[in-house]
Amino acid sequence: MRFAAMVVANIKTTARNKQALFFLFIFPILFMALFGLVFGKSQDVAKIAVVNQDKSTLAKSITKSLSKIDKLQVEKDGQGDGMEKLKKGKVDAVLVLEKGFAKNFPRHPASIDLYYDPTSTRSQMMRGTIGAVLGGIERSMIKTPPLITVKSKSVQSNQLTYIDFLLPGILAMSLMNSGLYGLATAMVTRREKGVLRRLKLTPLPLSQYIGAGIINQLLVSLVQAALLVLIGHYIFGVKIIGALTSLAILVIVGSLCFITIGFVIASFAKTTEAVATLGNLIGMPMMFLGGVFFPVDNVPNWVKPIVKAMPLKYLADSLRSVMVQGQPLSYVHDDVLVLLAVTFAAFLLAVKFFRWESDKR
Amino acid sequence: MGSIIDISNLVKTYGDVRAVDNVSLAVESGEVFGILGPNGAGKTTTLEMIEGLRKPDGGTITIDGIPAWPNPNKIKHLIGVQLQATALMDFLTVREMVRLFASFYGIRMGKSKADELLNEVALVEKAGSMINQLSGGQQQRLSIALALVNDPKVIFLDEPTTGLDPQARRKLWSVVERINAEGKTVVLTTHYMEEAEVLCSRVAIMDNGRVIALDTPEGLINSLESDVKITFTAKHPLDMQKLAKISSVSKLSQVDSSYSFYAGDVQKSIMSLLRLADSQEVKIENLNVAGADLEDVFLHLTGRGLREQ
Ligand SMILES: Nc1ncnc2c1ncn2[C@@H]1O[C@H](COP(=O)(O)OP(=O)(O)OP(=O)(O)O)[C@@H](O)[C@H]1O
Ligand SMILES: [Mg+2]
Repeated sequence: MRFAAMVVANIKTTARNKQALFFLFIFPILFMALFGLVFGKSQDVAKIAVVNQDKSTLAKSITKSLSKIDKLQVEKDGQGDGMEKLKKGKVDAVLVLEKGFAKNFPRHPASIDLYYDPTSTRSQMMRGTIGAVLGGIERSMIKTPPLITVKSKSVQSNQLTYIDFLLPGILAMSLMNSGLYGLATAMVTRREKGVLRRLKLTPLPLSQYIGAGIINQLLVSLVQAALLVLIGHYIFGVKIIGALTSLAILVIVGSLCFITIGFVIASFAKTTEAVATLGNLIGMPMMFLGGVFFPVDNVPNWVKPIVKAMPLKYLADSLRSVMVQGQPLSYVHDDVLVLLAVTFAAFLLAVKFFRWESDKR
Repeated sequence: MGSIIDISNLVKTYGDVRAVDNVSLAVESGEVFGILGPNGAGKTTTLEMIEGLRKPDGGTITIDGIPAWPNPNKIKHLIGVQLQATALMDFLTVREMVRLFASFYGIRMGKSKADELLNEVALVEKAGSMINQLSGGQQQRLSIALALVNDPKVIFLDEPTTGLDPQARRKLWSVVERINAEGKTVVLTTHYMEEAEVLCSRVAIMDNGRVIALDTPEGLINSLESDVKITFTAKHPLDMQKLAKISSVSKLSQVDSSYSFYAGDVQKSIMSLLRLADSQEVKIENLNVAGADLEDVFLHLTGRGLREQ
């Protein structure tokens, strides 16, 4: 019962600290947004404005076919500002279907105007695309089978883009950061202020105090992970094909690992400044060499053992395998075992060196 | 009534400093026991060893017959503690904090029960406020409430009124009196002799880690047999030479129209003073007689003031 009360108290203090909460969640989201905008899917999307002044079925079927094309965004242009947008580069082409453009079609050829910007490669590519689409419509109307069909096949069953690679990395990094700093900062602050000394006078066992802190931090990490995955999926279009339960299990195992490392930091650090220093010392190298932003399979030989010693790499790798490659948990069980072993070792260290007070009395 | 706390030959050293130097004490059940002393006297160190927070280097402590060391867990349910440096968790309300602490003792404290306790320390109107928004006096009273959640036999208050304004101090005094009236034993430390005189049934005076005197406040003052200070003003100059001849009068002084002297025999010296003024046809005004207090006792025992100037 006192354990539950302590957990609830921790959650309340976390949830009510709006400022800390803001930073807790804004950083991973900012990271994601930043990298997403630079490398994300939105870059590949071409835009076309369609000025449709005709009511024929042909006009309708043309717009419909265009909107079916992957990575092409169709804007219906009623106001006639399509040309302006084209000049400013906000759309890549403007298609004009004048009233009566297909009178007596197919006996008389229909005439369609396509405006494009010759200085933009994407705009030029649009000519080809639109031409092909219209050609397809034409063939289907005059019922001629295509002579050549091209089926494009990717070497991978689902093509991975950089953002797909990045999301699991950012997720792993966020779990690491909130694990390393979150619990440790809270614990050291309370120790510095003498709150822990006061708690020591009550019958609340140390294990329950710590357990409650870990659970609270774990919940924070889970919310963080959920936010990141949702944003990654719905805003940046990351394909998440792995099982959500496997993903959740990995998130929990990974968080626990870094929370216990944070707990070791809290045991050694006297001040919150020391928490930051120690945290950076452990976290920074992992951020760069842990396979968050780029693959680390091709690092120089002498760096390999360092990379192998980084828990973040195991978390990032396993998250990647499960999230975007859809592998089952059994595929990453080596990674999971490493993370669990680190957690166990860190826990022993942390308990051994735990201090209720900043100075020995 | 028997003693509830027994301390014998308690020792604690920090490097070269003997913070607590062979202290032996017995606190009676149901009393308010005060430890008075200047900064660094060893008050906090003594208290925290009794509470089980600091490990003594030597000596024994029992509370209600149970040794506080080596396993302080055994006395946790007997005691309630307010530490000198109060720090509590932010972002919890006063009521939530009280209920949380009760839960640590396995007590399921309802809202009304918590408010009852807060009422006892005159804090019920702040029950819904966040802890970080409390004033100094309110925080002290909250820590007293927290010390009371487990209905302990003994409560320890380490400088409960330091840093409070006179009004807040008086409010806290009445809280302590109420707690004591319920039959709880209170051990408190203070720098203020007035506080010890008002609240404590007995006072131990500590200096340099040692108990240098222990008695009721009256007993301590009486033991001084000290002189009283007599002050008055006179518009016309008064020749005091004759007064100086009375045996128990000393330290005559005059600044402008203000006069003062110390006397052992109050009655005799005042009679002489009045007769002297009469004969010289000088009118005496603002006559004042001040007795000794614990401050003087401390001055007498150590040759130093109780508080650093
Ligand atoms: N943790 C510690 N490390 C080293 N010296 C200490 C420690 N705690 C107390 N001391 C020393 O022990 C002596 C007694 O300190 P203590 O805090 O018990 O005094 P106190 O009577 O409570 O003083 P105050 O009125 O200022 O609270 C002091 O000389 C102090 O410097
Ligand atoms: Mg003290």
